[in-house]
Amino acid sequence: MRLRPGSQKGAWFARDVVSSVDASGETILLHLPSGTYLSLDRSAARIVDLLNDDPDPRHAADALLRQFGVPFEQALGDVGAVVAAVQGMSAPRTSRGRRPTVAGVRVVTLSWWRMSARYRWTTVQVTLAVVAIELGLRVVSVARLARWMQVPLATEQAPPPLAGPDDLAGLSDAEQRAHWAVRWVLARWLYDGTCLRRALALGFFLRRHHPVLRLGMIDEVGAAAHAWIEFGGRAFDAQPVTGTFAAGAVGAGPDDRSGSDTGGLP
Amino acid sequence: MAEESYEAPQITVLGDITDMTQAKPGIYFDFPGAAEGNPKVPSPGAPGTGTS
Repeated sequence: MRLRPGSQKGAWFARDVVSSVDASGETILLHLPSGTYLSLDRSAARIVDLLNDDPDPRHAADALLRQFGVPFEQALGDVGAVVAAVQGMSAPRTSRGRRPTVAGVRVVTLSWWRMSARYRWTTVQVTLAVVAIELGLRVVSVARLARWMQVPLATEQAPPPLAGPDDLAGLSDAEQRAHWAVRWVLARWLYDGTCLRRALALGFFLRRHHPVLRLGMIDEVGAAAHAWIEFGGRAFDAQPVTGTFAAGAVGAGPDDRSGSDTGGLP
Repeated sequence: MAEESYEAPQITVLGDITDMTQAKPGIYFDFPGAAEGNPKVPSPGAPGTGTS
């Protein structure tokens, strides 16, 4: 989908957007209220930067006039179009549900029944949390759902996490069971067990450690995002990413990445 | 800082946050071998129970 002139105009709120860059250096913006990832070219990224500094469209247009010599009316139109696009564009949510079969229910139930009582109870708890997450993803923004799950979305600049096995040191027995059960349940869930669902569920069960949810773009060609949680200097379910989504600094290009290990990028 | 040029801004929708995060292959209800793989519950922290 390409930019369409604004059909929906509204005030700009810098807190509604976080940004990162993908492996090719494109600026990727996440509009938090709609949960939509958008790819911005340099001009759009520049305009978003200006709006984050000062939400008045006329001031942004004036800056474009001074910096690039763009006629004020044209610049104001471009700023309005960017605001409308960021606030108005959305992607359809594809619900990849699976219809369970009788045989499938039987094998999963048997697998569950073979667990110890503690693990059975933990998987029940995790299943309830996953159901709540599934419902929450349909009715509220991810940022709000993350707050409800007590794993708030972090929007400050941070270096990419070190990928590696999860460090379970310091977790209680119940938390370690939950760590295992989140994977067990989501691997059998009726919808795709995405990393976002995994991060929200795991963060909820590790909430006494005050985890935060982080988002980033996968460090390889293609548009794929990753979600993970962090607390105490540890990342859970970390993968190589180009950087974390953060507030401000939208126009950072590939050469401006801070703390990102981009040595192997194409 | 290098001189930047200005062109009409372009914005492209990539996807929804609930869909763009990665999904891993799972053992779903309709997978006939679900119970045959590893019926024994691994202990937390055992190989294969961490991040993949």
